[in-house]
Amino acid sequence: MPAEVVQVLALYLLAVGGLSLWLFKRGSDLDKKISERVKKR
Amino acid sequence: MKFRDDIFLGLGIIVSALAIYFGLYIAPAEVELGELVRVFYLHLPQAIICYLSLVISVITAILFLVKKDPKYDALSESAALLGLVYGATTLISGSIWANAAWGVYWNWDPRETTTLILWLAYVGYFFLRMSVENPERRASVSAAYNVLSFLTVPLSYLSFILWPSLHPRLGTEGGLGLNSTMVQALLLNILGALLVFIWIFRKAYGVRLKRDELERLLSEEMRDAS
Repeated sequence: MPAEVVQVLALYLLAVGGLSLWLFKRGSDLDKKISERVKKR
Repeated sequence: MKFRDDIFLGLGIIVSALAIYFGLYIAPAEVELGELVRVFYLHLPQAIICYLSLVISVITAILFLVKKDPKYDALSESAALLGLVYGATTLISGSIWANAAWGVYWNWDPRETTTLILWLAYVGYFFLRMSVENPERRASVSAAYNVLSFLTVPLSYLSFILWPSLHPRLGTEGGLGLNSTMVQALLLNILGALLVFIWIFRKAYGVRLKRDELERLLSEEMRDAS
């Protein structure tokens, strides 16, 4: 298999995986901040 | 919502894994491009999803301008974010392919150039969002900008019809000649990428709603303190 195919596959997995992880992290950070604010009230 | 999210994620991973295996190992090589045609099974779905994201983004931006419902602004921003990410992978995977097929990563082909303009227009969209503080004004201004920047989408899509281009086309003379197995590999890859896109889009929208909720709580706190 040509190296270009592997590069494009790695790029796709990195972009989709990276975005998903970032969304997970951002989502859980926001959940934490929201529950802190709600508890404060 | 959570269960449906997991279904999209599970299906997306299974279909994508099968599609990638099918495209890389089972589908035959193309007559002219040889093994390099396999890049196409990954590149085309990314380009389709980039366009699809931006279509969703502009439709929801117009709906926001008409109805002034913040949920449409949230949908529009989430879709634009995905358009930006898939646009970046389309540009990079396209230039990897261009280097192998044409000998250079970038040669200012109309398809490459107009897609880069599209991508930069949507980078501008996020800079615009960051520069406006008032949430209502931010939503209105960025929705109007979104409608204008969407003009780059048909420009990119039709570029190889409007100007002479080296970019391969399906089913045309001198273009890619795909047999039925290759078409199946392509369709399966599009389906897999679409399922993954649906999951990420729902996730991005959920995160955006949480951000709105936090902003609302903070502004209420500030109002109570003053």
